[in-house]
Amino acid sequence: MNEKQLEKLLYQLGDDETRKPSPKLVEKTKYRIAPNWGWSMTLLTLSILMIILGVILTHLYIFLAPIGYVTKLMIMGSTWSFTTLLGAGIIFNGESVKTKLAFLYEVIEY
Amino acid sequence: MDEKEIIANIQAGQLDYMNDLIDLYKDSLYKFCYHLTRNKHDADDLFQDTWLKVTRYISHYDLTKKFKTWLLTITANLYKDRYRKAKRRLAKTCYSYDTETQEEQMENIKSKSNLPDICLEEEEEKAQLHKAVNKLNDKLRVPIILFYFKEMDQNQIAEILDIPVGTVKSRLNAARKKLLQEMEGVK
Repeated sequence: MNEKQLEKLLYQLGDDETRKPSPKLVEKTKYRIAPNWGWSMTLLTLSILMIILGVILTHLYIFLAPIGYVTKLMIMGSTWSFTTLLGAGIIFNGESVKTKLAFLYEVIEY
Repeated sequence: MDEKEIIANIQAGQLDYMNDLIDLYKDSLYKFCYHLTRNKHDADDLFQDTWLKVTRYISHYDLTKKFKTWLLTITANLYKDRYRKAKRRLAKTCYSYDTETQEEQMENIKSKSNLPDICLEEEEEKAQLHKAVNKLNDKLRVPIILFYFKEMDQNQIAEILDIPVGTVKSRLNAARKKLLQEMEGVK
């Protein structure tokens, strides 16, 4: 094979590549560039507020309850675990951690 | 609406026009991402990251320059910064890509088996050449992709890779020599 034949084949290789981005990838990219900030921000704010409120109310209730110190700690510990799981569930809402973190990063940057 | 108008609108703050810009360049950019990364997963990531960076820095884009060159510069830099660092991971994906591509190419060859022998031979040569291109290191491979697959001239490649035109020429020559050697080895 000489250089001319090689060049001809190289050009053909470029033409042969017919791979296209999937419509899902294009849609996802468009969303990441200009997401529906209104809804996302409202939901995110509501979720965080609900979690904070829940934690404050539970803590108040437990502190006032006529139970022992160790029991209070145990209940508070389990409440924190439950709230964290619930909060994470609401915030991430079925999306991957990577996607959500990228979104949160964009929200902060925006 | 032409490309310049779309970009001018985005620069004026109308982000919705990014959708039009993506539609205009999605196929061409994705092909480039795929050639660079050699696998679908990384190509998808690179494609998304490029558009995010374009959105972030489009206000710095000079409308007198060619948008495609600017777009490919961003992609090449992202690839250089992020993807090339993960050499170990890429080495693994290269292996899987090679196997996947070879299978795909063999299927292509089989499906074209009713073509005359000369065509079949050419398809085989192409498959071997594709393999040889993928074996090149990035310094030689990226100029080849830009020159032959994206049909950029040497000045544009120099701009994209931020290297002198002379270096582009020498890298293209070195790549061609290596490819010729590889192809001789095959025969």
